[in-house]
Amino acid sequence: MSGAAMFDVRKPIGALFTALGTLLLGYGLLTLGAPGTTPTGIAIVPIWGGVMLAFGLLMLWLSRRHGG
Amino acid sequence: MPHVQLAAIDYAVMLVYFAMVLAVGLWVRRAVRTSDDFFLSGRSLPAWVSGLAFLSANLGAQEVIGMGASGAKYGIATSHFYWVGAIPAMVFVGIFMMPFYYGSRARSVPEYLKLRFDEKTRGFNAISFAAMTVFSSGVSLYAMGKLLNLLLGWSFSASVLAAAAIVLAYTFAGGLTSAIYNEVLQFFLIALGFVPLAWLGMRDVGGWAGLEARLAEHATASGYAATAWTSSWQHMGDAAANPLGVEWFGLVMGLGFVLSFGYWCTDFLVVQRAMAADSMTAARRTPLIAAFPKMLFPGLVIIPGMIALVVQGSAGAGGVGLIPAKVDPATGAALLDAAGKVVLDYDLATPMMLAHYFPAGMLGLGLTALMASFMSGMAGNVTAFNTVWTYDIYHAYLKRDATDAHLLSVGRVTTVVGILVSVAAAYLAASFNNIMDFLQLVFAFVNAPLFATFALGMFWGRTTGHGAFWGLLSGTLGAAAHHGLSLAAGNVPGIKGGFLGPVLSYPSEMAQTFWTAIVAWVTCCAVTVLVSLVTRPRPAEELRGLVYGFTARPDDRAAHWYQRPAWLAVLVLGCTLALNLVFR
Repeated sequence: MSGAAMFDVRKPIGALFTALGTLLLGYGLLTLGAPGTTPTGIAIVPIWGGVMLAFGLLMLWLSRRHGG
Repeated sequence: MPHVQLAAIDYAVMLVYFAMVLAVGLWVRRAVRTSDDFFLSGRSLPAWVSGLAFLSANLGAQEVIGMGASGAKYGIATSHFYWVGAIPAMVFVGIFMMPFYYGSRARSVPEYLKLRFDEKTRGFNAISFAAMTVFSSGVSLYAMGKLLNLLLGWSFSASVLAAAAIVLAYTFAGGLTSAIYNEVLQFFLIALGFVPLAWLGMRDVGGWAGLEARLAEHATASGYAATAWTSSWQHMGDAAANPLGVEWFGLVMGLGFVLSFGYWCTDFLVVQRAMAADSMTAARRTPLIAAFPKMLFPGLVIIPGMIALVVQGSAGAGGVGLIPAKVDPATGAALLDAAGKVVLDYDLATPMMLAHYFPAGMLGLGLTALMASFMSGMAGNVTAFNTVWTYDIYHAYLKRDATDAHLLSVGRVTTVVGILVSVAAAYLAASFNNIMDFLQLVFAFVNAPLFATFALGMFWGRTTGHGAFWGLLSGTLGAAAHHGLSLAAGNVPGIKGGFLGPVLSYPSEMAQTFWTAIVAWVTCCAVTVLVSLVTRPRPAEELRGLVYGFTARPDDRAAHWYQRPAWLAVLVLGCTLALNLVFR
């Protein structure tokens, strides 16, 4: 088998978005309600942090399911 | 313009991303043992990975910043670069051309030219392509350095050198596999970084109906019909009636046919990603899989640019919406065009949207996505450059008896050289208002005639090596001659054309570029056919696997119907037609 086939790219995608999602979700929750965190009236930081965390975990789960 | 202030969380987001990019390079490094692994990723990637990399390698400076700029400048008609100028060609390369690229076992596009035609045609393409890739890579770097300097106040040189060092680290370590894996990572980062921007922006302006109403005011104030910024086809009957300054024939022939097919079907930068797929069916599915997210990208990159034009914001003196005026660096005053109107810095449309809508944390994400787009474009160019240099120039002309280990070393050294030349090119790429116009011009010179060579070579067995070579050369010279004899309104003779004496005039640079491409294509076609008819063709048995009429059709019957390239192509084209009708 060629080298490249040994790797499952879902693993680094999952790791990246789990890390970024956790970072933004944590920061967003800690600063909730602080001035300047909701310029459009939506608490976008924790919401989007949660979306990215869910996406990262989904990628890690898919990678595990495929034996990565 | 005051600089945007970043918080610690923004830097943390950037650090996490850059650490992951470097980790991917180190992670795949141990898999690179042969030159095939380094340059072709061992032909081992599943179709969805090569498909997203196919899309991402094209996500350079011209995509996120350039399309946002064009969205503000020309409106939804910019979507022609996707729904006319990309998707049909992506379908064509997947269905008709990939069987020859992948099936011939050529390692690069120039090598296919050698197999189909001869050594001189390969040499011509290899040299022009190598020059074009490092230049494109330099443009990506330049755009990034300029942006970070303007927006954040970071040093241009430090930004350029830091980005170049990161791209060098991961492409040097893991070659094409590392570049492709990072491109897939970058694709998701760009998508997840820009979806909230488009969502917040659209919500703010009252959805599509609200955006239409606001842009109607801008359009009428600019002397166009109210729907000029929000309909892509309605005003294409007359070049003077739409902000693109192009009429439908120039658009469809120049962009939709010559430039688009020239880029997507022959540019090794994107074709290389499909050639890394693990089977013929996967290689053919690669551009078709890429076409689905590609057709939705206008929503992520063009619409934010359009919103930037109508949002009440801090554009400063002379600016419109969020888009500031271009400033003369010597005097600090706003630049004026020939008619005395303020010149807007459209390239700042998307970055200003990020600064306007994103609070701390999200701003870091958006800026990281922007940097990812620059770096994926640059890495794509560098990996294509080192393959073509190593296989098609070094191995073909300088050291024919090189061992595989030697070629692998040359590939790594070439990566360093390619990055250094890109850095040098970044300092040269500063004279165009809109980066995309410039790249289109480069593609018109190099890619437009090339598509004629490939189309004739793959579908007409009578085409000869002499015909291909002289056709290519004449096509490139034809492009240069047309550019030298034509000028767009408001420009002065020089790099933007007219240097041979402006005989033809066009309403816009884009129209001039599209017609340059058409002239290049027609010239190449005519000369290739004429020279081929008076030179000796190769016998049919030598053209098996290289020419349509002499090659068995790929058999996809083993795949599920939804995995078959033909069905995917029908679905892609149907969706694209629907999008054209919705936004007509």
